[in-house]
Amino acid sequence: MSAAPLPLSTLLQRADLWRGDALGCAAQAGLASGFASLDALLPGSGWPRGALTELLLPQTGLGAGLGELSLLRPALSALDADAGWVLLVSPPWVPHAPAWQGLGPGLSRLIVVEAARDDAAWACEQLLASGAVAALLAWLPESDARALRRLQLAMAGQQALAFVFRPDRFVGSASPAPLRISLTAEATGLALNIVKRRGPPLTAPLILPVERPISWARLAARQTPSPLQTIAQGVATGVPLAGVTNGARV
Amino acid sequence: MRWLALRMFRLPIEVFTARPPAVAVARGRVIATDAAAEALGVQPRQRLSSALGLAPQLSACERDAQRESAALARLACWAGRFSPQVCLAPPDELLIDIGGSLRLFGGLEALLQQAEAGVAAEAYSVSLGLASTPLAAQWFARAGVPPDLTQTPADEQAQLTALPVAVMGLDERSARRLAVLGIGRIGALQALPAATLARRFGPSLPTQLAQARGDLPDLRRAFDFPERFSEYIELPARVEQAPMLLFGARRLLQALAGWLNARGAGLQQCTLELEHEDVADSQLVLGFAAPTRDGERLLRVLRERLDRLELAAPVVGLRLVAERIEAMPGESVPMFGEAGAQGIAPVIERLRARLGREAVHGIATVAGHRPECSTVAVDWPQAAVAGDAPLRPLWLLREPRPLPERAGRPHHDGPLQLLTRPERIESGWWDAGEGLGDIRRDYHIARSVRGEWLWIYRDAEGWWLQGLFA
Repeated sequence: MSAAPLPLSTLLQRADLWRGDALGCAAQAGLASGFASLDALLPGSGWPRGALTELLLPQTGLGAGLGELSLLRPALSALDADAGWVLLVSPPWVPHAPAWQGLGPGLSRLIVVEAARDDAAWACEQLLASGAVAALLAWLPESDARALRRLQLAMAGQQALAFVFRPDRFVGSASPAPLRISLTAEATGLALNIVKRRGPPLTAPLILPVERPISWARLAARQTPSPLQTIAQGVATGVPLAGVTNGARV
Repeated sequence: MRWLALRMFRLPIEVFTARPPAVAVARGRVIATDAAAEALGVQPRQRLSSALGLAPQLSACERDAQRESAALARLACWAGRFSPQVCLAPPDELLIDIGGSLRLFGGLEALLQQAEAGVAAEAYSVSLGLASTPLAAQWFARAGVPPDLTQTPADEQAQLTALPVAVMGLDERSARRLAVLGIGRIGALQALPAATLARRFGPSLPTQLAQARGDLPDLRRAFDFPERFSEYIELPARVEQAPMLLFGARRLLQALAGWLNARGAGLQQCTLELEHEDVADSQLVLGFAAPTRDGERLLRVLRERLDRLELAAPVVGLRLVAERIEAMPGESVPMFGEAGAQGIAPVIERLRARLGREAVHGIATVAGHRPECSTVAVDWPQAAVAGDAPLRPLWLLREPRPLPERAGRPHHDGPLQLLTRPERIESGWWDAGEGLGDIRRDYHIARSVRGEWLWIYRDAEGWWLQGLFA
């Protein structure tokens, strides 16, 4: 007396099942990231709601300043003022209010939680469970998969966005986050290497021109140093440039 | 008007924490018994010697009227959650005018359940009485007539006539004379002419009858909710583990919540004083993100604090003090706990209880040019004054980090590429010596060889890294 077999199409409606060559369907539609090329690669066509997104940052150097928050800026700005709160949990640097003022719903909806190690994961869990969070940005360099799983469970079924920043040495280790992206800097933009998603693996990183203090085009123009810069460098290093010095003496 | 009478019929013994069976005695006679003593046949008015004959293991406590009135006042504070119109009816009754509160609490039945459960949580035995006059409500409570939810005024009058005259609490002589006359029920008294009754038993008896019926006004003095909340309870036993204090503290917090409700106020801070046996008292300050009067919320914050508290010495008593309260009209008890914007406050309190008050904060901008001074942590996020922000990094370093200069260029794991012209920030002459002081800096946006976007500056001492464009 076996049950009638389920048609494959019904099974594929489940968020945790997908065909190897197609994107899975998300439990709820994502929040558009503001980058069409990225949305096309994500199940739910945007940043997942009610699920963790893990962003892996290089552990060499400062491990910040690549544009990792500019990547989230369009999505955060799309949040309603009454959608809830934006939380920064154990940020590694000091938030600079004049800049955060223009990000997302603004300072009136931003709360900073400074917590160490275990307390940070606990705080995230408490916050996510409250249901009042619109977006959680957490820096959890020490947390293990078990702690992340607790977060994943705490926020299931909610509308919240949750981004967890971790160093990229965790690329190879298991994580309950359904979306994991490793971020690196490229000359023409921020490179997103989607390590894990509910869908087929990607071979090439996606390069996004996230917002920067100067445009990527201007940056590219500066990559080929102009003759004037070469001279300036020469002066600074003290290498005499024959033509100029001779001219001055005459 | 709808009056709810709460009669704590074992109050004289329940203010003590005696091992059952126990009785409260005054002048050698039993005043009140606990349930165990009652089961053994001990009754009020018995001599203590006869009571001991019935139950040799009986513990007897000398009646303490002061404790009883303190307990009654604390219950009155707690009852403030139902209505600001609360009256004390010493020695052991409270009257609450619930007429205006029925809808708020989801109907009469729900309100009665909450009232009964609330008194039971305070560990007092209670009987309820419900009527349209305060006196009738008291009589019903004394007679143990359970509240009738569907009672009409006619029903009430009929039930009133059926009550025994004992509920009136007459003096012994009058009670004996009524018994001799064969008058056992209120109805029989009501049938007699008022003038005759007044002549025989004093004018108060017919007045009481008329007040219970509602024919004469029965003006009660409303309980004055104290200006400052300060309640003390003695713990039944020495408490050595902090979390065990929660049970006792819960009673105080419930009273506090009721008191706040009656005063239409909320608080952001209250203090729990722990009384120790031999060492000086210690204090536990509870802070809240936003004014609140929600008992559950107060309790959650306390629980978080107690979980992490190491007691210096065993605790024998607790005092809860609330001094600064803030007007908080509008919302009432069950409206709390809604999701959305308000919903974050309880969890913020829990985080603060564990991480410290300063660890959870909002940020605000301060007008000024010096980057170190342009951010200030605020207790609660505020609407920002939107200004035209120049290009500024999201992150600052706690302290600017010196950058080596090689070949005229700043280095950070490799030469930095300067992307902008210098932006001069020169400010702060006024707080030289005490604050950051005067600065003269040329800021640049730079990119490192690793592709990090940095905010660096140069001053008289050299190059510094100050921010990150994340």
